Amino acid sequence: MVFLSKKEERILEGEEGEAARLAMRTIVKVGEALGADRLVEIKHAHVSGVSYLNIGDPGLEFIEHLANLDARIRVFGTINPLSFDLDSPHEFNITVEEYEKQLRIINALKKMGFKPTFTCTPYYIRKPSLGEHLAWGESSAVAYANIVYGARTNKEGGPIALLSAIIGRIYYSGLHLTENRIPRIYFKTTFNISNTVEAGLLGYIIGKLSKGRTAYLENNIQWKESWVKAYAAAIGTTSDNPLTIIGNVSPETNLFNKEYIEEEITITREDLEEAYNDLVDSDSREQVVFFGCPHLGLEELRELVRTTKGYDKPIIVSTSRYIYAKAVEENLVKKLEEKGIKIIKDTCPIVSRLFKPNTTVKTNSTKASFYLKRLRKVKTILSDYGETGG
Amino acid sequence: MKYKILHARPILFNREVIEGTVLKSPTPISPLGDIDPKTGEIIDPRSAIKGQKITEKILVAPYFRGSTVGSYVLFALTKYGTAPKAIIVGRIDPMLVAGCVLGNIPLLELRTYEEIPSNVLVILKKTNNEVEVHVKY
Repeated sequence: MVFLSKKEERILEGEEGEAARLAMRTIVKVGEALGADRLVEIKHAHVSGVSYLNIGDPGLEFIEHLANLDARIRVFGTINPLSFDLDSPHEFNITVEEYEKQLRIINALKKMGFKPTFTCTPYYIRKPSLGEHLAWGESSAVAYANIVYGARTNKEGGPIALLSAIIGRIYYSGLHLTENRIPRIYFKTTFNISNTVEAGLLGYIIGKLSKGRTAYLENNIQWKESWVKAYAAAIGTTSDNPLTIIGNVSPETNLFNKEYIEEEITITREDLEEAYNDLVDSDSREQVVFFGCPHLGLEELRELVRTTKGYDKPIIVSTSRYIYAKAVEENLVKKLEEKGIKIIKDTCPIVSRLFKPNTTVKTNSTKASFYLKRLRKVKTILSDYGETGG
Repeated sequence: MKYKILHARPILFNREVIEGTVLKSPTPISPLGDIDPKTGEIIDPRSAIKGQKITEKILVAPYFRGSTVGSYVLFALTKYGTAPKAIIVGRIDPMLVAGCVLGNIPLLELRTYEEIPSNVLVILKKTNNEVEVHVKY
Protein backbone atom coordinates (compact mmCIF):
# COMPACT_ATOMS: atom_id res chain seq x y z
CA MET A 1 0.00 0.00 0.00
CA VAL A 2 1.46 3.35 -1.07
CA PHE A 3 0.30 6.18 1.22
CA LEU A 4 -0.16 9.49 -0.58
CA SER A 5 -0.16 13.08 0.61
CA LYS A 6 -3.24 15.24 -0.01
CA LYS A 7 -1.48 16.85 -2.97
CA GLU A 8 -0.52 13.47 -4.44
CA GLU A 9 -4.13 12.28 -4.02
CA ARG A 10 -5.33 15.31 -5.95
CA ILE A 11 -2.89 14.63 -8.78
CA LEU A 12 -4.11 11.02 -8.89
CA GLU A 13 -7.68 12.28 -9.16
CA GLY A 14 -6.74 14.32 -12.22
CA GLU A 15 -6.84 17.82 -10.73
CA GLU A 16 -3.57 18.68 -12.41
CA GLY A 17 -4.43 17.24 -15.77
CA GLU A 18 -4.53 13.93 -17.55
CA ALA A 19 -0.75 13.59 -18.08
CA ALA A 20 -0.05 14.09 -14.37
CA ARG A 21 -2.84 11.66 -13.47
CA LEU A 22 -1.43 8.98 -15.77
CA ALA A 23 2.09 9.58 -14.45
CA MET A 24 0.97 9.41 -10.82
CA ARG A 25 -1.06 6.26 -11.42
CA THR A 26 1.90 4.53 -13.06
CA ILE A 27 4.41 5.53 -10.37
CA VAL A 28 1.99 4.47 -7.59
CA LYS A 29 1.22 1.11 -9.21
CA VAL A 30 4.87 0.30 -9.84
CA GLY A 31 5.67 1.49 -6.31
CA GLU A 32 3.04 -0.90 -4.94
CA ALA A 33 4.53 -3.74 -6.95
CA LEU A 34 7.95 -2.95 -5.46
CA GLY A 35 6.57 -2.79 -1.92
CA ALA A 36 7.06 0.96 -1.41
CA ASP A 37 4.90 2.60 1.25
CA ARG A 38 5.20 6.18 0.02
CA LEU A 39 6.64 8.44 -2.67
CA VAL A 40 9.59 10.79 -2.34
CA GLU A 41 10.17 14.15 -4.02
CA ILE A 42 13.01 14.26 -6.52
CA LYS A 43 15.27 17.10 -7.66
CA HIS A 44 16.27 15.90 -11.12
CA ALA A 45 15.02 13.30 -13.59
CA HIS A 46 17.30 11.93 -16.29
CA VAL A 47 15.58 10.02 -19.06
CA SER A 48 17.19 7.22 -21.05
CA GLY A 49 15.51 5.74 -24.11
CA VAL A 50 15.08 8.84 -26.26
CA SER A 51 16.82 7.54 -29.37
CA TYR A 52 14.37 6.63 -32.15
CA LEU A 53 16.55 3.65 -33.12
CA ASN A 54 16.01 2.31 -29.59
CA ILE A 55 12.37 3.16 -28.79
CA GLY A 56 10.90 3.08 -32.29
CA ASP A 57 7.33 4.04 -33.14
CA PRO A 58 5.89 2.89 -29.77
CA GLY A 59 8.20 5.27 -27.90
CA LEU A 60 7.52 8.11 -30.33
CA GLU A 61 3.76 7.55 -30.01
CA PHE A 62 3.86 7.61 -26.22
CA ILE A 63 6.11 10.64 -25.84
CA GLU A 64 3.98 12.59 -28.34
CA HIS A 65 0.85 11.39 -26.53
CA LEU A 66 2.18 12.90 -23.28
CA ALA A 67 3.17 16.15 -25.01
CA ASN A 68 -0.28 16.38 -26.59
CA LEU A 69 -1.80 16.01 -23.11
CA ASP A 70 0.19 19.14 -22.22
CA ALA A 71 2.52 17.30 -19.87
CA ARG A 72 4.97 19.60 -18.09
CA ILE A 73 7.87 18.43 -15.99
CA ARG A 74 8.17 19.74 -12.42
CA VAL A 75 11.87 19.15 -11.87
CA PHE A 76 15.17 19.62 -13.67
CA GLY A 77 15.04 17.20 -16.61
CA THR A 78 17.82 15.94 -18.87
CA ILE A 79 17.90 13.31 -21.61
CA ASN A 80 20.25 10.61 -22.85
CA PRO A 81 22.17 10.46 -26.17
CA LEU A 82 20.64 10.07 -29.63
CA SER A 83 21.72 7.84 -32.49
CA PHE A 84 23.42 10.69 -34.36
CA ASP A 85 25.10 14.07 -33.91
CA LEU A 86 22.44 16.71 -34.59
CA ASP A 87 25.03 18.82 -36.44
CA SER A 88 26.22 16.02 -38.74
CA PRO A 89 23.42 13.43 -39.03
CA HIS A 90 24.56 12.32 -42.50
CA GLU A 91 27.69 10.72 -41.00
CA PHE A 92 25.66 8.25 -38.97
CA ASN A 93 23.97 6.10 -41.58
CA ILE A 94 20.36 6.95 -40.76
CA THR A 95 17.38 7.29 -43.07
CA VAL A 96 15.35 10.45 -43.60
CA GLU A 97 12.44 8.82 -41.77
CA GLU A 98 14.62 7.97 -38.77
CA TYR A 99 15.96 11.52 -38.72
CA GLU A 100 12.52 13.09 -38.87
CA LYS A 101 11.05 10.84 -36.22
CA GLN A 102 14.00 11.57 -33.94
CA LEU A 103 13.29 15.29 -34.30
CA ARG A 104 9.64 14.68 -33.35
CA ILE A 105 10.76 12.90 -30.16
CA ILE A 106 13.12 15.76 -29.28
CA ASN A 107 10.44 18.39 -29.91
CA ALA A 108 7.92 16.58 -27.73
CA LEU A 109 10.44 16.27 -24.88
CA LYS A 110 11.44 19.93 -25.21
CA LYS A 111 7.79 20.96 -25.11
CA MET A 112 7.46 19.12 -21.77
CA GLY A 113 10.45 21.06 -20.43
CA PHE A 114 13.38 18.69 -20.84
CA LYS A 115 16.76 20.22 -21.60
CA PRO A 116 18.13 18.99 -24.95
CA THR A 117 21.29 17.59 -23.35
CA PHE A 118 21.66 14.27 -25.24
CA THR A 119 24.26 12.97 -22.83
CA CYS A 120 24.93 10.10 -20.44
CA THR A 121 26.73 12.55 -18.10
CA PRO A 122 23.90 14.68 -16.63
CA TYR A 123 26.01 15.26 -13.48
CA TYR A 124 28.12 17.80 -15.42
CA ILE A 125 25.00 19.80 -16.20
CA ARG A 126 23.46 19.70 -12.74
CA LYS A 127 25.71 18.45 -9.96
CA PRO A 128 23.82 16.21 -7.50
CA SER A 129 24.26 16.76 -3.77
CA LEU A 130 24.60 14.41 -0.84
CA GLY A 131 21.35 12.72 0.18
CA GLU A 132 19.11 14.24 -2.46
CA HIS A 133 16.68 12.03 -4.35
CA LEU A 134 16.80 11.60 -8.12
CA ALA A 135 15.02 9.49 -10.73
CA TRP A 136 17.68 8.70 -13.27
CA GLY A 137 17.92 6.25 -16.10
CA GLU A 138 21.30 5.41 -17.72
CA SER A 139 23.18 2.96 -15.54
CA SER A 140 26.58 4.70 -15.67
CA ALA A 141 25.13 8.02 -14.50
CA VAL A 142 23.06 6.32 -11.81
CA ALA A 143 26.15 4.62 -10.41
CA TYR A 144 28.20 7.84 -10.62
CA ALA A 145 25.53 9.85 -8.74
CA ASN A 146 25.33 7.25 -5.97
CA ILE A 147 29.06 6.57 -5.66
CA VAL A 148 30.56 10.05 -6.04
CA TYR A 149 27.84 12.38 -4.71
CA GLY A 150 25.90 10.14 -2.34
CA ALA A 151 22.73 11.14 -4.18
CA ARG A 152 19.97 8.57 -4.08
CA THR A 153 18.61 6.99 -7.21
CA ASN A 154 17.74 3.54 -8.41
CA LYS A 155 18.35 2.59 -12.02
CA GLU A 156 15.01 3.63 -13.48
CA GLY A 157 13.84 2.65 -16.93
CA GLY A 158 13.22 5.39 -19.48
CA PRO A 159 9.41 5.44 -19.17
CA ILE A 160 9.50 5.59 -15.36
CA ALA A 161 12.07 8.41 -15.25
CA LEU A 162 9.98 10.34 -17.78
CA LEU A 163 6.76 9.93 -15.77
CA SER A 164 8.45 10.75 -12.47
CA ALA A 165 9.66 14.05 -13.97
CA ILE A 166 6.03 14.99 -14.61
CA ILE A 167 4.98 14.49 -10.99
CA GLY A 168 8.37 15.30 -9.42
CA ARG A 169 8.26 12.12 -7.37
CA ILE A 170 9.38 8.51 -7.36
CA TYR A 171 8.52 5.52 -5.16
CA TYR A 172 10.50 5.37 -1.94
CA SER A 173 12.29 2.05 -2.35
CA GLY A 174 15.69 0.48 -3.04
CA LEU A 175 18.60 2.92 -2.79
CA HIS A 176 16.36 5.79 -1.63
CA LEU A 177 16.37 4.07 1.79
CA THR A 178 19.47 4.35 3.97
CA GLU A 179 19.23 0.70 5.04
CA ASN A 180 19.76 -0.45 1.45
CA ARG A 181 22.85 1.75 1.07
CA ILE A 182 24.71 0.00 3.88
CA PRO A 183 27.44 -2.19 2.35
CA ARG A 184 26.89 -5.96 2.68
CA ILE A 185 29.95 -7.16 0.79
CA TYR A 186 33.54 -5.97 1.30
CA PHE A 187 36.22 -5.86 -1.40
CA LYS A 188 39.99 -5.42 -1.08
CA THR A 189 42.53 -5.35 -3.87
CA THR A 190 46.13 -6.57 -3.78
CA PHE A 191 47.16 -3.65 -6.03
CA ASN A 192 46.43 0.05 -6.50
CA ILE A 193 44.63 0.87 -9.72
CA SER A 194 46.47 3.24 -12.01
CA ASN A 195 44.29 3.87 -15.07
CA THR A 196 40.76 3.84 -16.52
CA VAL A 197 41.03 0.33 -17.92
CA GLU A 198 41.85 -1.16 -14.53
CA ALA A 199 39.10 0.89 -12.89
CA GLY A 200 36.58 -0.39 -15.43
CA LEU A 201 37.65 -4.01 -15.06
CA LEU A 202 37.39 -3.67 -11.28
CA GLY A 203 33.81 -2.36 -11.59
CA TYR A 204 32.97 -5.21 -13.94
CA ILE A 205 34.27 -7.79 -11.44
CA ILE A 206 32.73 -6.22 -8.34
CA GLY A 207 29.35 -5.90 -10.06
CA LYS A 208 29.44 -9.58 -10.93
CA LEU A 209 30.44 -10.74 -7.43
CA SER A 210 28.12 -8.43 -5.46
CA LYS A 211 24.94 -10.21 -6.62
CA GLY A 212 22.71 -7.18 -6.11
CA ARG A 213 24.22 -6.13 -2.78
CA THR A 214 25.69 -2.71 -1.96
CA ALA A 215 29.47 -3.11 -1.96
CA TYR A 216 32.32 -1.47 -0.07
CA LEU A 217 35.69 -1.09 -1.78
CA GLU A 218 38.73 -0.52 0.41
CA ASN A 219 40.89 2.23 -1.08
CA ASN A 220 43.41 4.76 0.23
CA ILE A 221 44.60 6.47 -2.93
CA GLN A 222 43.26 9.41 -4.90
CA TRP A 223 41.06 8.39 -7.84
CA LYS A 224 40.88 10.49 -10.99
CA GLU A 225 37.42 11.48 -12.16
CA SER A 226 37.90 9.35 -15.28
CA TRP A 227 38.59 6.26 -13.16
CA VAL A 228 35.35 6.63 -11.20
CA LYS A 229 33.44 7.16 -14.44
CA ALA A 230 34.97 4.00 -15.90
CA TYR A 231 34.21 2.05 -12.71
CA ALA A 232 30.61 3.31 -12.51
CA ALA A 233 29.93 2.56 -16.18
CA ALA A 234 31.34 -0.96 -15.89
CA ILE A 235 29.45 -1.95 -12.75
CA GLY A 236 26.23 -1.27 -14.65
CA THR A 237 27.08 -4.01 -17.14
CA THR A 238 27.17 -6.74 -14.49
CA SER A 239 24.97 -5.57 -11.60
CA ASP A 240 21.52 -4.16 -10.91
CA ASN A 241 22.77 -2.45 -7.77
CA PRO A 242 24.77 0.58 -8.89
CA LEU A 243 26.17 1.50 -5.46
CA THR A 244 29.72 0.79 -4.30
CA ILE A 245 30.97 2.85 -1.42
CA ILE A 246 34.61 3.49 -2.30
CA GLY A 247 37.04 4.48 0.43
CA ASN A 248 38.55 7.94 -0.13
CA VAL A 249 36.08 8.58 -2.98
CA SER A 250 32.49 8.26 -1.70
CA PRO A 251 30.98 10.68 0.83
CA GLU A 252 29.09 7.90 2.61
CA THR A 253 31.94 5.80 4.03
CA ASN A 254 30.30 6.34 7.43
CA LEU A 255 27.60 3.86 6.36
CA PHE A 256 30.17 1.06 6.55
CA ASN A 257 29.59 -1.15 9.56
CA LYS A 258 31.48 -4.43 9.93
CA GLU A 259 28.45 -6.11 11.47
CA TYR A 260 26.51 -5.89 8.22
CA ILE A 261 29.25 -7.41 6.06
CA GLU A 262 28.22 -10.86 4.85
CA GLU A 263 31.20 -11.62 2.67
CA GLU A 264 34.76 -10.38 2.10
CA ILE A 265 36.59 -10.83 -1.19
CA THR A 266 40.14 -9.98 -2.25
CA ILE A 267 40.70 -9.12 -5.91
CA THR A 268 44.07 -9.78 -7.50
CA ARG A 269 45.76 -8.83 -10.76
CA GLU A 270 44.93 -12.31 -12.04
CA ASP A 271 41.22 -11.50 -11.60
CA LEU A 272 41.72 -8.35 -13.69
CA GLU A 273 43.49 -10.40 -16.32
CA GLU A 274 40.61 -12.86 -16.46
CA ALA A 275 38.02 -10.08 -16.83
CA TYR A 276 40.18 -8.51 -19.54
CA ASN A 277 40.24 -11.77 -21.49
CA ASP A 278 36.44 -11.98 -21.15
CA LEU A 279 36.03 -8.64 -22.85
CA VAL A 280 38.67 -8.27 -25.55
CA ASP A 281 39.50 -9.87 -28.88
CA SER A 282 43.24 -10.10 -28.42
CA ASP A 283 43.99 -11.49 -31.88
CA SER A 284 42.79 -8.31 -33.60
CA ARG A 285 44.62 -5.11 -34.46
CA GLU A 286 42.61 -1.89 -34.09
CA GLN A 287 41.29 0.02 -37.10
CA VAL A 288 39.94 2.90 -35.05
CA VAL A 289 40.37 4.27 -31.51
CA PHE A 290 37.43 5.44 -29.43
CA PHE A 291 37.25 7.42 -26.16
CA GLY A 292 34.08 8.76 -24.61
CA CYS A 293 32.03 6.09 -22.89
CA PRO A 294 30.73 7.72 -20.72
CA HIS A 295 30.84 11.07 -22.58
CA LEU A 296 34.12 12.83 -21.84
CA GLY A 297 34.35 15.73 -19.42
CA LEU A 298 36.67 18.72 -19.71
CA GLU A 299 39.38 17.14 -17.57
CA GLU A 300 39.47 14.10 -19.84
CA LEU A 301 39.61 16.26 -22.97
CA ARG A 302 42.55 18.19 -21.45
CA GLU A 303 44.28 14.90 -20.68
CA LEU A 304 43.81 13.78 -24.29
CA VAL A 305 45.39 17.01 -25.53
CA ARG A 306 48.36 16.36 -23.21
CA THR A 307 48.89 12.66 -23.95
CA THR A 308 48.01 12.13 -27.61
CA LYS A 309 50.73 12.82 -30.12
CA GLY A 310 49.12 11.73 -33.34
CA TYR A 311 48.40 8.20 -34.41
CA ASP A 312 48.26 6.17 -37.60
CA LYS A 313 44.61 5.19 -36.96
CA PRO A 314 41.58 7.47 -36.69
CA ILE A 315 40.74 8.56 -33.13
CA ILE A 316 37.11 9.39 -32.33
CA VAL A 317 35.94 10.87 -29.04
CA SER A 318 32.39 11.53 -27.90
CA THR A 319 31.11 14.16 -25.51
CA SER A 320 28.00 16.21 -24.80
CA ARG A 321 27.20 19.48 -26.58
CA TYR A 322 27.38 21.14 -23.14
CA ILE A 323 31.01 20.09 -22.60
CA TYR A 324 31.80 20.65 -26.29
CA ALA A 325 30.83 24.33 -25.99
CA LYS A 326 33.14 24.70 -22.98
CA ALA A 327 35.91 22.89 -24.84
CA VAL A 328 35.57 25.34 -27.72
CA GLU A 329 35.97 28.24 -25.27
CA GLU A 330 39.12 26.63 -23.86
CA ASN A 331 40.47 26.07 -27.36
CA LEU A 332 40.58 22.31 -26.69
CA VAL A 333 38.52 21.38 -29.74
CA LYS A 334 40.98 23.05 -32.09
CA LYS A 335 43.94 21.39 -30.39
CA LEU A 336 42.33 17.97 -30.60
CA GLU A 337 41.42 18.45 -34.25
CA GLU A 338 45.00 19.44 -35.00
CA LYS A 339 46.07 16.06 -33.64
CA GLY A 340 43.62 14.42 -36.04
CA ILE A 341 41.07 13.59 -33.35
CA LYS A 342 37.44 13.68 -34.41
CA ILE A 343 34.89 14.84 -31.83
CA ILE A 344 31.27 13.74 -31.98
CA LYS A 345 28.50 14.93 -29.66
CA ASP A 346 24.88 14.04 -28.78
CA THR A 347 25.63 10.38 -29.47
CA CYS A 348 28.24 7.63 -29.17
CA PRO A 349 29.28 4.51 -31.13
CA ILE A 350 27.21 2.21 -28.86
CA VAL A 351 23.86 3.83 -29.69
CA SER A 352 24.68 4.82 -33.28
CA ARG A 353 25.70 3.04 -36.48
CA LEU A 354 29.05 4.82 -36.63
CA PHE A 355 31.10 1.59 -36.59
CA LYS A 356 30.32 -1.17 -39.06
CA PRO A 357 30.12 -4.77 -37.76
CA ASN A 358 33.50 -6.57 -37.57
CA THR A 359 35.48 -3.36 -37.24
CA THR A 360 38.14 -3.65 -34.52
CA VAL A 361 37.95 -0.79 -32.03
CA LYS A 362 40.47 0.15 -29.37
CA THR A 363 38.89 1.84 -26.36
CA ASN A 364 39.64 2.55 -22.71
CA SER A 365 36.05 1.81 -21.65
CA THR A 366 35.00 -1.53 -20.24
CA LYS A 367 31.36 -0.59 -20.78
CA ALA A 368 31.99 0.30 -24.42
CA SER A 369 33.84 -2.96 -24.94
CA PHE A 370 30.97 -4.93 -23.38
CA TYR A 371 28.21 -3.30 -25.45
CA LEU A 372 30.04 -2.67 -28.73
CA LYS A 373 30.52 -6.43 -29.03
CA ARG A 374 26.95 -7.27 -28.16
CA LEU A 375 25.03 -4.47 -29.87
CA ARG A 376 27.28 -3.49 -32.75
CA LYS A 377 29.11 -6.77 -33.38
CA VAL A 378 32.48 -5.04 -33.47
CA LYS A 379 35.71 -6.43 -32.02
CA THR A 380 37.36 -4.58 -29.16
CA ILE A 381 40.73 -4.06 -27.52
CA LEU A 382 41.06 -2.33 -24.14
CA SER A 383 43.85 0.19 -23.67
CA ASP A 384 44.36 3.41 -21.70
CA TYR A 385 44.79 6.97 -23.05
CA GLY A 386 48.53 7.24 -22.63
CA GLU A 387 49.15 4.02 -24.51
CA THR A 388 47.61 5.42 -27.66
CA GLY A 389 50.04 7.13 -29.94
CA GLY A 390 51.99 8.47 -26.96
CA MET B 1 -18.80 -28.53 -17.86
CA LYS B 2 -16.11 -28.46 -15.18
CA TYR B 3 -14.24 -25.44 -13.86
CA LYS B 4 -11.11 -25.21 -11.84
CA ILE B 5 -10.70 -22.00 -9.83
CA LEU B 6 -7.29 -20.39 -9.28
CA HIS B 7 -6.80 -17.32 -7.09
CA ALA B 8 -4.80 -14.48 -8.59
CA ARG B 9 -3.52 -11.19 -7.18
CA PRO B 10 -5.00 -8.23 -9.05
CA ILE B 11 -2.31 -5.72 -9.97
CA LEU B 12 -4.54 -3.79 -12.37
CA PHE B 13 -8.14 -4.91 -12.66
CA ASN B 14 -10.91 -2.37 -12.89
CA ARG B 15 -13.64 -4.56 -14.31
CA GLU B 16 -15.99 -7.19 -12.87
CA VAL B 17 -15.52 -9.98 -15.39
CA ILE B 18 -13.27 -10.69 -18.34
CA GLU B 19 -13.71 -13.74 -20.52
CA GLY B 20 -11.28 -14.95 -23.13
CA THR B 21 -9.14 -17.65 -24.67
CA VAL B 22 -5.71 -18.32 -23.24
CA LEU B 23 -2.53 -17.88 -25.23
CA LYS B 24 0.27 -19.26 -23.11
CA SER B 25 3.97 -18.66 -23.62
CA PRO B 26 6.14 -21.22 -21.83
CA THR B 27 9.03 -18.72 -21.90
CA PRO B 28 9.34 -15.09 -20.68
CA ILE B 29 8.31 -12.37 -23.13
CA SER B 30 10.24 -9.21 -23.99
CA PRO B 31 7.72 -6.76 -25.49
CA LEU B 32 10.56 -4.95 -27.27
CA GLY B 33 11.69 -7.42 -29.89
CA ASP B 34 9.28 -10.31 -29.22
CA ILE B 35 5.98 -8.63 -30.13
CA ASP B 36 5.10 -6.65 -33.27
CA PRO B 37 2.78 -3.99 -31.85
CA LYS B 38 1.31 -3.16 -35.24
CA THR B 39 -0.01 -6.73 -35.79
CA GLY B 40 -0.06 -8.13 -32.24
CA GLU B 41 1.98 -11.07 -33.46
CA ILE B 42 4.70 -12.88 -31.50
CA ILE B 43 7.81 -12.47 -33.66
CA ASP B 44 10.50 -13.99 -31.41
CA PRO B 45 11.90 -16.81 -33.61
CA ARG B 46 12.66 -19.00 -30.57
CA SER B 47 9.20 -18.67 -29.03
CA ALA B 48 6.89 -21.73 -28.92
CA ILE B 49 4.00 -19.39 -29.84
CA LYS B 50 5.80 -17.65 -32.72
CA GLY B 51 3.38 -16.33 -35.34
CA GLN B 52 0.37 -16.34 -32.99
CA LYS B 53 -1.52 -13.17 -32.14
CA ILE B 54 -1.91 -11.92 -28.59
CA THR B 55 -4.77 -9.61 -29.61
CA GLU B 56 -7.98 -10.17 -27.58
CA LYS B 57 -6.36 -13.16 -25.81
CA ILE B 58 -5.68 -13.78 -22.14
CA LEU B 59 -1.89 -13.79 -22.41
CA VAL B 60 -0.18 -16.06 -19.86
CA ALA B 61 3.60 -16.15 -19.29
CA PRO B 62 6.07 -16.96 -16.48
CA TYR B 63 7.22 -13.31 -16.45
CA PHE B 64 8.20 -10.47 -18.76
CA ARG B 65 11.80 -9.51 -19.49
CA GLY B 66 13.96 -7.19 -21.55
CA SER B 67 14.35 -3.47 -22.15
CA THR B 68 12.28 -1.00 -20.13
CA VAL B 69 11.20 0.37 -23.52
CA GLY B 70 8.83 -2.62 -23.35
CA SER B 71 6.43 -0.35 -21.41
CA TYR B 72 6.06 1.80 -24.55
CA VAL B 73 5.32 -1.31 -26.62
CA LEU B 74 2.48 -2.29 -24.25
CA PHE B 75 1.08 1.25 -24.59
CA ALA B 76 1.33 0.95 -28.38
CA LEU B 77 -0.63 -2.34 -28.39
CA THR B 78 -3.66 -0.51 -27.07
CA LYS B 79 -3.12 2.43 -29.38
CA TYR B 80 -2.97 0.12 -32.42
CA GLY B 81 -5.88 -2.04 -31.19
CA THR B 82 -3.74 -5.16 -30.86
CA ALA B 83 -3.68 -5.53 -27.06
CA PRO B 84 -4.58 -8.72 -25.20
CA LYS B 85 -7.72 -8.71 -23.00
CA ALA B 86 -5.56 -9.35 -19.93
CA ILE B 87 -2.10 -10.53 -18.94
CA ILE B 88 -1.41 -13.17 -16.27
CA VAL B 89 2.17 -13.74 -15.10
CA GLY B 90 3.86 -15.78 -12.41
CA ARG B 91 5.84 -12.76 -11.29
CA ILE B 92 5.40 -9.05 -12.03
CA ASP B 93 8.15 -6.49 -12.70
CA PRO B 94 8.22 -2.66 -13.02
CA MET B 95 8.40 -2.62 -16.84
CA LEU B 96 5.28 -4.80 -17.16
CA VAL B 97 3.30 -2.94 -14.49
CA ALA B 98 4.14 0.46 -16.00
CA GLY B 99 3.28 -0.78 -19.51
CA CYS B 100 -0.06 -2.18 -18.42
CA VAL B 101 -0.99 1.09 -16.69
CA LEU B 102 -0.06 3.06 -19.82
CA GLY B 103 -1.88 0.64 -22.10
CA ASN B 104 -4.78 0.14 -19.69
CA ILE B 105 -4.34 -3.64 -19.85
CA PRO B 106 -5.66 -5.70 -16.89
CA LEU B 107 -2.81 -7.49 -15.13
CA LEU B 108 -2.86 -10.40 -12.66
CA GLU B 109 -0.07 -12.10 -10.75
CA LEU B 110 -0.52 -15.84 -10.24
CA ARG B 111 2.32 -17.97 -8.86
CA THR B 112 0.58 -21.12 -10.13
CA TYR B 113 0.12 -19.75 -13.66
CA GLU B 114 1.41 -23.07 -15.02
CA GLU B 115 -1.89 -24.71 -14.10
CA ILE B 116 -3.63 -22.70 -16.82
CA PRO B 117 -3.49 -24.69 -20.08
CA SER B 118 -3.15 -22.95 -23.44
CA ASN B 119 -6.08 -22.40 -25.78
CA VAL B 120 -8.78 -22.95 -23.13
CA LEU B 121 -11.52 -20.52 -22.20
CA VAL B 122 -11.06 -18.69 -18.89
CA ILE B 123 -13.28 -16.33 -16.94
CA LEU B 124 -11.62 -13.74 -14.68
CA LYS B 125 -13.96 -12.67 -11.88
CA LYS B 126 -13.31 -9.94 -9.36
CA THR B 127 -14.07 -10.77 -5.72
CA ASN B 128 -13.22 -8.75 -2.59
CA ASN B 129 -9.45 -8.65 -2.76
CA GLU B 130 -8.53 -11.15 -5.42
CA VAL B 131 -9.47 -12.25 -8.89
CA GLU B 132 -10.74 -15.78 -9.48
CA VAL B 133 -9.46 -17.42 -12.60
CA HIS B 134 -12.10 -19.94 -13.71
CA VAL B 135 -10.47 -22.43 -16.04
CA LYS B 136 -12.90 -24.42 -18.18
CA TYR B 137 -12.13 -28.09 -18.92
